[in-house]
Amino acid sequence: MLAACSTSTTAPTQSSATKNLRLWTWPDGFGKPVLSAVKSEFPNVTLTQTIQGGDFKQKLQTTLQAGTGLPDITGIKGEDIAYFKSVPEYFVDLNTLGASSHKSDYFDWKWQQGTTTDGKQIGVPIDIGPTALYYRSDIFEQCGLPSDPEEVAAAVRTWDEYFSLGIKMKKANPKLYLVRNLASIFEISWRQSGKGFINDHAVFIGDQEHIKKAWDLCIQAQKDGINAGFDSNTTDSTAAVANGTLPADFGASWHLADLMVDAPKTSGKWRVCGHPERSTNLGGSFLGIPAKASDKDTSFKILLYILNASNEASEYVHSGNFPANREATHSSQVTGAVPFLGNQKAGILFAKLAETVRPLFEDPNENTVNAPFYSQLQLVESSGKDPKKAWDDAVSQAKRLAKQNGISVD
Amino acid sequence: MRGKRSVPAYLSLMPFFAAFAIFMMLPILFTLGIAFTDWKGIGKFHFVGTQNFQYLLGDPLFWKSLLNTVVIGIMATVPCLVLATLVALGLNSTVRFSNTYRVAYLIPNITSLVAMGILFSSIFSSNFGIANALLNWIGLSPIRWMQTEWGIKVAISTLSCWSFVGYNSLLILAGLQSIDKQVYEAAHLDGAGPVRTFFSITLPLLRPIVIFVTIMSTIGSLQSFTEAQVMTSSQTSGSANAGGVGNSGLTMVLYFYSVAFQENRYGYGATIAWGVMIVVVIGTIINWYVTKERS
Repeated sequence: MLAACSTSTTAPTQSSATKNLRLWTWPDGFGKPVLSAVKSEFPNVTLTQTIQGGDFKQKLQTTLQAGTGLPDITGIKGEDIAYFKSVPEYFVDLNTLGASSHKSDYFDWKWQQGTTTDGKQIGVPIDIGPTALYYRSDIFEQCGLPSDPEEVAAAVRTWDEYFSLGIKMKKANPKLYLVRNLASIFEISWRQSGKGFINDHAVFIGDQEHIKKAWDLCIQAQKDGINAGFDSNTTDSTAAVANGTLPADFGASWHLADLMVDAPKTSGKWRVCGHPERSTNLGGSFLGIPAKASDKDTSFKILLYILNASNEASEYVHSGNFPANREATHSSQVTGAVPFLGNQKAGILFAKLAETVRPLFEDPNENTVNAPFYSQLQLVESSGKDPKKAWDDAVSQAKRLAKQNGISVD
Repeated sequence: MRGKRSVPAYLSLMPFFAAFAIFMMLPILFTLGIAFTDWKGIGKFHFVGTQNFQYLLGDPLFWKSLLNTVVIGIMATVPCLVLATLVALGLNSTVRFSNTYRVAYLIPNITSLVAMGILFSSIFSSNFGIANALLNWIGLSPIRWMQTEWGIKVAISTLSCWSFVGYNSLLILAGLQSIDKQVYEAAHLDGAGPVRTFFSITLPLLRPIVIFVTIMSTIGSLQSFTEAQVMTSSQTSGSANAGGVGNSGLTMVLYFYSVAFQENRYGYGATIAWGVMIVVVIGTIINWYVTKERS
């Protein structure tokens, strides 16, 4: 290994034999199996993976603006793709390299997330995060609730059914909650509408019926008394997951890894099934090529190779990132039994759920404009703010922010 | 001072000025420039005139963050100064292991604030924290610290107070040791007790150092960021949801960070940064005025 590395670096880069290309990712990056597969597939290329710690978006942003020191292939996080799509001139339109013929290999809605409104392809998807319901089958059973994944899924087809299940659970054991916090419902319920807070004509639509409906669901959960009101990423919510106070939790496919870290002693007791109504997507990143990359064709070939079915499947084993490549979801590496989930074959479920996710338009200002709604829901759950007043405050704050950022408000 | 003699002096100052120009002056000027644009962190600059500054004046979140910063600053600085003085008096009168104690009190100040922030959010967690265990022990009902406006402020200011007590006490200790022993001896001969000695001799003679510590703490607290950033978590990256419930822990610098680096609103973020600077300048002028009047 070491010998191979040193030969490639000492060899003159100008020679047609070897080419040095750089790949930027964040911790944990791509696993060794993928990198060595690239090495044997492209013997003339030395691909160096640089793992950028800290704020990845900021580093990429600064380097793109500077125009030097750029990688040949870069990761783009799902949360930043809308932002980088707003400056497509800094990236290669991958359609010019023939990306469109690979479109059908990936989940359609995820591919679209990497497409600009005028049809440029900024990135090819690495992974997706279809949302599901994780729950403790032993606690569900103790409370006399259905505990088999299929039975639970059938019992909670709608949010109303889920809330009545929560009330039933509270009757069996008043210490238990079925909802982590109102934001955990809200982030899924507004996405289920297929529309966000700003439409593709840069008009604010956060005060419309689809958001109000998602909001009202949260208020209902609060009224039903099934909301624990634990802030995410706090000791309280970790402890609640570990000690069974929170025997159910919504989350994307990658949330499984969080549960495994937070509650290692409960291994084997958890299951996963579809949550009320359709699945949504949270997270999942892309690979793109900066416009100033030196060898775009080779970079694109490598990019496609990294994101082929067998490599994305092996990444699921490496990092728990669920493949965006449809063929990869059939690989035995993905469909295997998960011991933490009582040997349930979770990959099969996630693939099924991924088929139901709807495409969603995201404006780069989406998070700025929707933050007031999360903020007001937090006030409702923590200090009992009047929901009606909270909604009005959220809408007026959001409109103010929308206006300042050049979004039209009716 | 003019003439050849000053050349070596300026030359030896050059490295500092070069570094200052590149790493401080340029960014400050750049920040002033982009405050007049709607720059998104990448791409072209669009001049928007004073629009950002007008928005800032009418931005309830900015005023709220200013109020939060001042309130948290007072809640952290006042107890910190009192404790630091007490600790300094203690350190001044210890005979044995005095260096060990000094090091022990300084350790919180040199410990990573991020690590301490994580520790303190555990201390103030609702169900399993030491803070609530203590309340329980003395017979009070637990508080959901991080989910109430004042709970968040208490938690943040406790952390910031705790990390600066040792540092401030060392400064005050230096002040204590510079007081002439003869003054104490004279007081002792006149029959003054320890309390009288403290209020009539120690405190007045310590005033210069107390004023220095107060000014430094004020400037520090106006720029406080890490404590609030680590201790308050939010579900989304939007600034309107930053700083915990009801934005109670949103300090000015956290607001600026959230707007610029999380929302990519660099233009407006720069405007907030200038707002912070103006507030710091005003704070320093007030401090300076107060100290000048008294001395």
